[in-house]
Amino acid sequence: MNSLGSDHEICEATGISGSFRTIQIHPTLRCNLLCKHCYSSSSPVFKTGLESERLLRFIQYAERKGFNAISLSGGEPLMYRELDKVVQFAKSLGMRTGMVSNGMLLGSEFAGKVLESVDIVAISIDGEPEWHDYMRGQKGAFQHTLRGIEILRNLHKPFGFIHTITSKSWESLIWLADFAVSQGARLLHLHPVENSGRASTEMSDYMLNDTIRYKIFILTEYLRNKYSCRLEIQLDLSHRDYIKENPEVVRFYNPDNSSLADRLEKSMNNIVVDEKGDIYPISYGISSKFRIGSIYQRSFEGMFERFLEEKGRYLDTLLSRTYDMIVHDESVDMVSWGEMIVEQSLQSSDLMTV
Amino acid sequence: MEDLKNFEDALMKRLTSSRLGKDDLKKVSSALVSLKKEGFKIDGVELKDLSSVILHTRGIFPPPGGWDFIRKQMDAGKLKRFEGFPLGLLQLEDVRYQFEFEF
Ligand code: SF4
Repeated sequence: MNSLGSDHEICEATGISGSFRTIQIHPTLRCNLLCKHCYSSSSPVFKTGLESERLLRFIQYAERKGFNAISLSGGEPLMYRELDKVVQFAKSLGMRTGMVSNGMLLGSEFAGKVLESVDIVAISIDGEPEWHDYMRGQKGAFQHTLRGIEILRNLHKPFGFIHTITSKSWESLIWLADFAVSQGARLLHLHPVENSGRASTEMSDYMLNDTIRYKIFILTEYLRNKYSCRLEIQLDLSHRDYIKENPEVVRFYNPDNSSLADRLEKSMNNIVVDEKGDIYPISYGISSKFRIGSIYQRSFEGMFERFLEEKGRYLDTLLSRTYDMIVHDESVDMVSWGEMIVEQSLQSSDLMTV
Repeated sequence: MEDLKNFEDALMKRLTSSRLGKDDLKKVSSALVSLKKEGFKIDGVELKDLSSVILHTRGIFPPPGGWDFIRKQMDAGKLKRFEGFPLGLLQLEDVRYQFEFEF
């Protein structure tokens, strides 16, 4: 899930500031774990990964089109055999490189090579050790991840934590933020559990209701100020009143002062390459109606321009519809707008005919 | 340190209390958003009892958003108490504010 437009202030001291146009890449769904909350249903049974030559070709093209960062997730990116090539290539182009990892494989020689070309690592932590191991389906997983964090610290590699908030884990947020600071993390990214992938069957009892969302919001506000510039806390939940005042959170632009071309360009600040090599705007899981292209196509020339010409206004409609839904539904204050965009794209069968 | 721990324990106790309903939380969240919108920085959230919350904030003097914002909240009957304390004798423009909202 992308993190653009969230309700937070960028703090220079955490070193996480900057303006990025990011390619989020899922090079494989192969993973050493089988987590209950996994939105991509990744697991050890997947064997394949993207052809690296094709991927590099696309990265080169996207870089020429103004994308200046890649973010790798999966699956576990360290199970993608050609990850080293990908990060080295992106670095050679001057791009910023990030990786989301469960942290358990960071001790290998291969990981060491990869880390040389990775700027920031986000380690997924589900909460206190017992809960973490339960969610990961593996006893001792937390301890294993701790060793990975130690490796990052020894390498002086900037890292953050990414946490999937559930109706149980929110009660440990104070612990989690303390733990993040004590471990030297610079970022704590809080992402509500999504009703997709394996989570839709395994986590149905742990989805967030409105009441818990308020509690998370209040706690996050408290923690943001407790840690101020020591820890950047990013919450993928926003208050409706805030979104009303700041439409760009959902629409990626302020509709009052931007042209259609400007709007569309902004909505393309984050693109996704999924495990099949298909390219989409905004977020993993968005409807295939919004497919931009594939890393396997022969030529990329004119790819983004064609997409915007053919589907740009539908994308604009999707974003404005999601925004309208949020601001007009007064029964729901706290919204996970990223998930709503994806849901809207899947549910609105009339989107391409409006 | 001990104070902080007690404060956090009390906050969590309040937040996990089944007597704290959705409506109360909705009001606290709205108050937080409106203060942030005006430019206040939220330092702490104190759920005093089930019908009131004290929001500890920081800001400039006069308050971000001006006195109008505070007057409006008072007129709407939501703001029960408002106080400002200068952070230091020489820094009168840097003020710690407390808002007590009643629901
Ligand atoms: S959540 Fe991450 S670590 Fe867990 S199975 Fe999915 S990809 Fe692997």
